[in-house]
Amino acid sequence: MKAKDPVERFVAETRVEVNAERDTQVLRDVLEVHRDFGQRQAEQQRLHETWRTIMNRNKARVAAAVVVVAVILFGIAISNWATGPTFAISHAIETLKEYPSVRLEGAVPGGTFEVWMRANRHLTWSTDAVFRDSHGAIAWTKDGSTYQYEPSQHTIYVENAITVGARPWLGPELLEALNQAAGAQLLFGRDSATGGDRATFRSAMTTADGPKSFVIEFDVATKLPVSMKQWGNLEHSGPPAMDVARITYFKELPDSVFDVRIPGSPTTVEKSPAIPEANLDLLADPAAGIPVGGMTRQEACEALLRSVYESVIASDLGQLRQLAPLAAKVDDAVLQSMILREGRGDRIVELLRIGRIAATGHNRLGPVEAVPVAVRLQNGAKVEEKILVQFRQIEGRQSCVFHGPYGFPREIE
Amino acid sequence: MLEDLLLIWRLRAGDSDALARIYEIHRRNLLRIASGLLNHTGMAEDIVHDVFLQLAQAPGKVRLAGNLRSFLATCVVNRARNANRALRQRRTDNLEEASGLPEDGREPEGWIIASERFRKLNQALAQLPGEQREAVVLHLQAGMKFRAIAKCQNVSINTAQSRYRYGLDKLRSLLDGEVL
Repeated sequence: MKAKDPVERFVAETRVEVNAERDTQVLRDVLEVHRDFGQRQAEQQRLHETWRTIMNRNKARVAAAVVVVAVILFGIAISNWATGPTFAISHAIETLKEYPSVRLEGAVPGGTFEVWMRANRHLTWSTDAVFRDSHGAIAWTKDGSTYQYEPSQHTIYVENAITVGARPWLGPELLEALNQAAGAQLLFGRDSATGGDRATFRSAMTTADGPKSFVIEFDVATKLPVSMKQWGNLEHSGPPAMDVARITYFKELPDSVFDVRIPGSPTTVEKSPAIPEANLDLLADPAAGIPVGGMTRQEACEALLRSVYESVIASDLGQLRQLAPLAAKVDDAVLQSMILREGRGDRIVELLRIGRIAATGHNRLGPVEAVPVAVRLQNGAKVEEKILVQFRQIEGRQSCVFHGPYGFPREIE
Repeated sequence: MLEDLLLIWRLRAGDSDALARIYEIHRRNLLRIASGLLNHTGMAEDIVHDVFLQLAQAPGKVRLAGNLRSFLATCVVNRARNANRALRQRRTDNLEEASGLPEDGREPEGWIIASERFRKLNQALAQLPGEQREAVVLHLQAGMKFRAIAKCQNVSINTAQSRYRYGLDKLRSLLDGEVL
């Protein structure tokens, strides 16, 4: 707006100066209030993460992009699918068996991101991943650890577990899940840019993270997903929470794609295993867990984990709930599907070994131990996953409880 | 507009730098708008302080129909209206008390450093009827279009434009000699 009249100019151009000391004080007040908001946000985020952990769908908070990618995967996994005359989901499932690697490129509120991922040989979860966002944050996995580079601090945080990636993998298992339900829309059209036929899948659902709606576009010729969008509401309205403009599948990727080097000698900080504060009250249930009097922590972890895996293999939900307080209020159907993995190739069928404590953290209840456990799955794969065990002293007695997996499993053979 | 959206997204994600940036960009103008609407610097400062606290506490409530500047200006206007209403009520309830309230009851160590020109403008604005004052301040200081002002005042665009014109004419006579 241009003020031409002298009075208009006088009003428009009269400036205000501020007292610098007071100005700084006000900003400090405002930022302090916002910090409280940020802490509340972080607590909610941690709660969601743990929920997914107990559901055996791990991910970590690294950058906004990482979070949202995992969220959409979770959403898709429980969504519906309908088939159309020129595009059958079974074709896409078959096609995706040949593509164990993927690259996603898109935008989240506040920036853009790029993700490279490589799946395990069973195409059930990712083994290697690199996430980069437009603010310079990078998260990547290497040799069973996760590295998170924070550019504002020029610091790399290292976690002794794989906590970023995709589970389920963006592959056959995911599409099979989509194919099992009905109620969504599948629309057919033509891409104006390439002239190619497109199948557009549109759906909405309420997940553990709240309402979500999304659109996934498939190339009818290749049967591969080429783009997707996700909204934080059921109406596909407003700007999308994530817009993956390009999905590219690869039959093979060189290791160099996952080789990340940060210039300028960043500081490296080891992260201890941590349990969200929001879960500690549940873990303090005096009736849960096993007493550990007279045992070393290693012995106690072994005793607890042996019991937990026995209950998982025997599908004994009662014992599982007694040892794992976070599962206490989860429905049978959810536990059977997400933890026992009944009828799935990645169902645990044998406990192979319990390793030495790999890392230790602390919280107000007591020490937290990360213990590697090797198991054999229904599909023959042998995998190692780290488990968090919480020690506590309640009513004068030492005991420990099962918290959940710490990061993704890792194939060992 | 895009920068505004990104700032709000970052703010909702808990990014304090985004909040500091919003503060840096908008606080002076909001102080100017609040002062123009209230002619009471201390109350104007409180209102702008409140607007930023609200933004910090509940960034999820921000709904940008236009730009962030207009959104924040509207927040200030709503609070200024409430403050003016409360002031009028006090005057009705207790004339003596109300008349004892200084026109500009700010603390000596206030946030705003008022120049002579700033004082003169606010004194002149204070003599306009409330709706005209709002129309002038929102158009010239908040940069809002008449369509947005009309929506904010819940009147037609023509009415908003008329209020602006009348307000400007009155300001012209009040500021006669001050403006070159």
